[in-house]
Order: sequence, then structure tokens, then C-alpha cells
Amino acid sequence: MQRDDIRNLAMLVAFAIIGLLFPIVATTRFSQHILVMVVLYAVLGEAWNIMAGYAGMVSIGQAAFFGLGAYVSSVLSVKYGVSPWLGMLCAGLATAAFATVIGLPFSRLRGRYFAIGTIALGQMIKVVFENWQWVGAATGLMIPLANQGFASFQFHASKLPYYYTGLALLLLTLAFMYIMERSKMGYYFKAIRENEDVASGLGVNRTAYKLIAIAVSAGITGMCGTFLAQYSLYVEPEYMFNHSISVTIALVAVFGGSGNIIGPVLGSAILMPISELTRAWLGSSGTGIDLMIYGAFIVLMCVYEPEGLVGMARRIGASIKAQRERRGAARCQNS
Amino acid sequence: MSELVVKGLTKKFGGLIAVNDVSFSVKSGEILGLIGPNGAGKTTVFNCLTGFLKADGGSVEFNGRSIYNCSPNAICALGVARTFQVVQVLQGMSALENVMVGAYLRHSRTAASRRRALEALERVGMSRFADMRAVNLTLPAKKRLEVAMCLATDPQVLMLDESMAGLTPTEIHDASSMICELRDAGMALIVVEHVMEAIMPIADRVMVLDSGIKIAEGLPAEIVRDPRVVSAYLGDKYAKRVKC
Repeated sequence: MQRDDIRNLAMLVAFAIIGLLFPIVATTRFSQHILVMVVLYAVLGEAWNIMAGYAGMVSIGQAAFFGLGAYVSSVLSVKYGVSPWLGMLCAGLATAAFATVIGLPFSRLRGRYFAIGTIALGQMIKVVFENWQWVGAATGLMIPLANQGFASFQFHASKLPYYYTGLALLLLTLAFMYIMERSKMGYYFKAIRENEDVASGLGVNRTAYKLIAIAVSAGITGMCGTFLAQYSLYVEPEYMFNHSISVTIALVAVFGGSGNIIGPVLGSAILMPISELTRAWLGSSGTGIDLMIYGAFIVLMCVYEPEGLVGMARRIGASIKAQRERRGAARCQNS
Repeated sequence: MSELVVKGLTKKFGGLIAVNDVSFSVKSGEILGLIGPNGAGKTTVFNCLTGFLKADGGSVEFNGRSIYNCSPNAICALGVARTFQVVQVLQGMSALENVMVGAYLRHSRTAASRRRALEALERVGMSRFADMRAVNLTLPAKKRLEVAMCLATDPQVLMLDESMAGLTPTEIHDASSMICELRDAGMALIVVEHVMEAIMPIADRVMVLDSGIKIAEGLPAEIVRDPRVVSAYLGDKYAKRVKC
């Protein structure tokens, strides 16, 4: 193992420990809810990151995969009594398969046209589910209550088990991305993002790698859909396919900094509490002040730090280093 | 011993015939110069051979196998690589990472790919820029990087599209000797070039295109005296300068 690897592994362990310790301070149900939302959107942001941050296909329709995943596991559990865990696996696979089929025509779209396409996809799927009687149409499905526990993936007394489940999902996703970034796949994704023509000229099968990126991203997003379905115990088109989910996913990743592993986690850790707290404190006034404050944060970020929090950290790090070198040089001259 | 054989290649853009029934071949250890006025179809020939454009007729065989209208990545995998007229690198990645993308074609593991990429950088004299982001490189460095990216894919045929345009005489000299080294190592090269002083001394054969038609092919010394080539492209001044 090289020094870099040891340092990164130490960071991951430290990150996991911090994650495990959070619940000590989060004792109320509301603060636990915020924690759950942070890990959920961190995973969603990372999934988006694979597709958009690395492979360069900006999606604003992740809700399509999210809702699909939620519905797959819910339908399986309501109609066939399948365990939600198996349902989550099925949701991941089904969403990935769906995304591969959809991805074939979509991967031919470039840049903003891809993004527009994904918006349309999100809206279309929602309409389909709103009119599909078998899955409850606009009223959706209620997941029947069961005894709480990991077997039923339902926890009524405390939200913490949900948090730990989400954290495990997050750590798995991060581990996957860590390996991906250092492998052929990660390099090929980035090459496609930077310049598709150069990539294919160097032997990269761009269609295949784009489809892999879309499928992996969608699969993880679908599993998150199952997670939220089990968290709220009902699925409904307006809730699961809501366009704001797609936007929030992209926001979290861009706010934190896309194209690197830690960005979306940072973005979620900052944006989700702001979003939930302003909603809880100011949302009831009916004036929309909560959304204004939330929006102002995003505007400030876009104006002053378009590369996200990670870009900001890098810039500050570089300027500190430069200052230290200047000081070192001055000292040399003095002596 | 590898050989690229092109027969009757034709490409139309609407009513315009950009490449009209062009045939040629190139084999290992040989530099084929491709010259002609702007708009003659040189780059279009490259694009058709490497799969970036679909040709409208003809045949392209590499080592006896048809690569006519295959996908760019499949053609690259068979051993035909190219650079672009307007230099194209992966801007946001480091020079080493750029070359590694090419090296992954034959080496799936990252460590092996990195080793191969460092070799390729060394070969074009770019080792000291390995960690620099490609966007920050100078134009000649980017052109060298592009060649390194191609070399990393272990090509048997390398096509260079104006890789010496915009370089100073010293840089042209360096680039020429690099190209000759590649030929001597057994590669087949097709070089599109406008800088006559660069291409004429190193080319084993020269082919001239004008308005999509091949008007001449032969040794460099014959080409500069060919009246059709002089009137279409080189001009009287160049012909006189060569004679002196």
C-alpha cells in the first residue's frame, strides 16, 4: 500500500466514526430526520456524480430512477410480500436495466440536450404512474405496517436505524467510487466527459461506457428510492417522482463540488440541514422565506465558487501554500 | 509487417464530393506525406479512415481486414491511431492521465497503464510535464502530448494531421526527428502537412490531393517538379527555390 492509500483509508475510517457518533448529539426525532436526509442525499448526490461529475452527462431527471426504485420494492412488498431488502436489490437491478434501455437513445444526446432529455424523462414517468391503476395511480400505495426491525426494514420508535442503514449505503457507495476513480472505468468516464471524440479515438467505446455510468448511477438512485419508501411507508407519484428531487440531487452535488468523491457528501451535509431547518422554522409563515434563504445560499455559491465547496477548499489550500512558500523565500533572503 | 490499403475512397457532403475515388497504401517503416491546398480533403480522408466520418464508397483494409466505416474505437483497437488538425486533448486531466486513457486500451490495470503512459511520454520528451494539467500546456507540448496519447495505444499506423503547424523551426526539427524515429521503429505514418520544409525531407512518398482528387503520387523530388502539383498547390516560387 502506498502512503496515499493509507491516508485515504484513514480518512474513510475517520469519516465512518464521525458518522457513527453523530446520533449522540441528535436526540430529537427532527434532528434524526435531518441526519437521515443528509445521508440519503449524499448517496443520491454521489450517484449523480458518477454520471454527471465523472462521465459528464448532466441529469436533471434522477427522480425517474428514484421513483421507479421506490415503486419496484413497494409493489413487490405490497402485492407479493417480498422482503424490502430483496426489493431494494430488485429495485437497483430493475432501475439499472431501465436506465440502460433509456440510455441507448439518450447517450447520443450531448451537453444541455441530454439534460433537457432527462427533465422530460422525469415528467413522463410521473404521468405514467399517475395513470397506472395497478400501482394505485395518483393515490399510490401504502406499505403495510409490520413489526419493527431490520427484517422488515421498518423502524417506528426511532429514526436512527434508518440513519445507520443510509450510512452503510453511503460508505458502500464511497468505497465503490474510490475504486472506480482509480480504475480504467474512472479514467474512461473522465475522458468521455472531457472530450468524447478524443476518447473514442483512443479506443474508448463511448456508448458502452456511457451506458455503464447511467446504469450504475440509476441503480444506486433506485435503491435510495426503496430507502425513502421504507422510511415514509408510502409511495405516491407526486412524492416519489417530484421534479424537486431531481433538482435537489443535482444541487447537492454541484454545491459540494462534482467530479470528486467528497463533494456531494459535503454538499448534502450543508444544504440538507439548511433546507430542513429553514422549512421547519420559516416554512409555516406561508411567505416562502425558507425557500428564499435556501435559494440565496445557492446563488451565492454559484456566483462566488462555481466549483463548489471542494473548489473553495482547494483554492484556500493553494493560497496558504503559496503564502508559506513566500514566507520561506523571504526567510532565506534575510539569513 | 502491416499494411493499410485504401481503394476508391469517396465521401460526399451533399452535392460536394470532398474525397473522390482516392486510392493509396502505406506499410510499416514508411512515411507517406499527404499534401494539398486548403479544402483538398486531407482531413476528410483521415476522418473516413479512422471512423469519425462514414465514407460513401470504396474500401479500407488494414492487414487484410476491412476497417471500412468501423467505429473509431474499434479502428483504434486494431492499431490505427490519429491526431487531430485542431489539437484535441483532455483539458481537465493531467498529461499523464491523458496518456493513460490511451494506454488502458492494451493494459487494463492502472499500474501497468501508468507505466506504459510514462514510457510514451518519455518517448516524445514530455516526461517533465507529466503532472501538469493539459489545458495549461503550450501548443507544441499539446501536440507532443497528442502523439504520446496515440503511441500509448500501440498503433501500427499513425496518422498525424498537421502536427507541425504553428511550430518554430527548432520545434519542427524536433518533431521531424521524432517522426523519423517512429518510422525507424517500424511504424507506418501518414502525415498531413503544409510546412513543405518539414515534410519533404522526411517523407518516403508524397501524395497530393486537390479538390478531393488525387493528382499525384511519388517521391518527394518528383512531386516538387510535377507541373500539376506546382500549379495546384506549391506555386512557381517554391519550385524555383527547390531548383536553386
